[in-house]
Amino acid sequence: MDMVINFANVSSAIAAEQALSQAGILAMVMPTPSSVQAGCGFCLRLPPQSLDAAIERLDSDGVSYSGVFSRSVEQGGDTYVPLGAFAAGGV
Amino acid sequence: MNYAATSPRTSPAVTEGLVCHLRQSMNLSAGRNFEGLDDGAIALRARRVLAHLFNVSAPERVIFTSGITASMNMVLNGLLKEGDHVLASGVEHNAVARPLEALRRKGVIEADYLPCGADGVISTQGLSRAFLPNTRLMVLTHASNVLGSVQPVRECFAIAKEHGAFTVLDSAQTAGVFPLSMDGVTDVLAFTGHKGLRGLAGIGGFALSEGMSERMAPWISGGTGSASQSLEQPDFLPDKFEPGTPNTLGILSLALSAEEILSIGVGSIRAREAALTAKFICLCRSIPGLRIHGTADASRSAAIVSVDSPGADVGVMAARLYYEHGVITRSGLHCSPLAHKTAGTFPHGTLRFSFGADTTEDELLYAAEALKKIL
Ligand SMILES: Cc1ncc(COP(=O)(O)O)c(C=O)c1O
Repeated sequence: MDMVINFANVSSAIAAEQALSQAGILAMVMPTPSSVQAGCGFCLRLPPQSLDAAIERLDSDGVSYSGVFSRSVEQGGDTYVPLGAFAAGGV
Repeated sequence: MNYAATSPRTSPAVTEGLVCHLRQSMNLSAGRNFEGLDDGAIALRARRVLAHLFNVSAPERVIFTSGITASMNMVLNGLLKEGDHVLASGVEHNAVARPLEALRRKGVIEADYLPCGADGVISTQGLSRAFLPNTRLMVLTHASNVLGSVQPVRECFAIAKEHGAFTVLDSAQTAGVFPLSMDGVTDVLAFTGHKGLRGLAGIGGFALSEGMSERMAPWISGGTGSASQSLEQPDFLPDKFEPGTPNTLGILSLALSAEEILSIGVGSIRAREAALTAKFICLCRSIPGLRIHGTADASRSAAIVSVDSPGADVGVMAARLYYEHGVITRSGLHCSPLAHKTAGTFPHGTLRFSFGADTTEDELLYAAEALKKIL
């Protein structure tokens, strides 16, 4: 299982990737899967143990995100479950 | 000596950076451009450096367009509503005056041009009386592209704020040279890349102060690579005002040149250009029959000196300067009939000298000698 932080646009996704990389948190930018959100946003995928530090960093840098999901690989494809505790944040 | 129109070349570092980018982007697999991520990273870098240069507190409030002409059309049409009254200076460029006139002719707005002295400077005395109950916006060019005259922007915009009007600044002739701070000074700062910012032509934009985005409707709409499920333009920045494929090469040129400007320091760029302007004004004063327009005071002027000589055709002067002496100037009305009416040089226009990063004192001496010879 890993975590997915979703962003409304490419600008926020890149700002987030840069902020996390400065904080030493490894995360991969990728197009948002359509089962997370229709449209064409970008998201960051990262291991679950990095999530709290990542969110803290994004909040403190004022990088806005539109949702957090957990991704599990099941038979027939990936399943994304929204994590209610992390409502859209940042500015 | 036509820097007010456009910078003749990018600096070596900017050129190098652009060439390097072009080479890299030929190799598609080396980047992440399959999803526009590289373009996004370049735009973010440019937004950050421009936000720093213009003292904008959030980089996403820096929006890219093709230049001030596009920015002014977007901003004026996006902010103004039926029945609004607009104040502008009597030296505005047609990039401001024509969109205003178009709105006025459609019956959407009323517009008044604030009286300026013949030197092109707005008189702030009695300025409050120009405001009507429906005055919703004041737009000013920071420095006239014809006369060089710098406006008392802070004072005028403070009065506009007292009357509850939006403020919009045209920084075409000052960005990259004059210290500019948008926060607390203006609601909108429109900029162009190809003059003092020394980027490529065809890139520019505008910066918005906090909360302005909610007040401004998008004037053009289209694909943003975001929220694509919706047929409505997204309301978040910068996407709200940046539909369509971005001019990444232009944006990169701005990022590179603004980084260079910050490292040189705007203060020293301005000091150098003011010294050149003062020198040229001094040289012009010694030429019999030559009239200098504008403030004729480098401390109150951008690096622009507009001249004429009674009885002499400024078009012929410009042509002779070029063909006989190789000096490039710009004659005529400089896209600003308003400024020429203010200066009393309409419709014949003036001969405009303007200076920039590569101008040398020797060039000034040479140009003044040439001017003497053709008169
Ligand atoms: C004062 C002024 N405003 C606006 C413009 C137009 O800018 P742009 O070329 O970016 O459309 C110019 C120059 O062309 C100018 O001098």
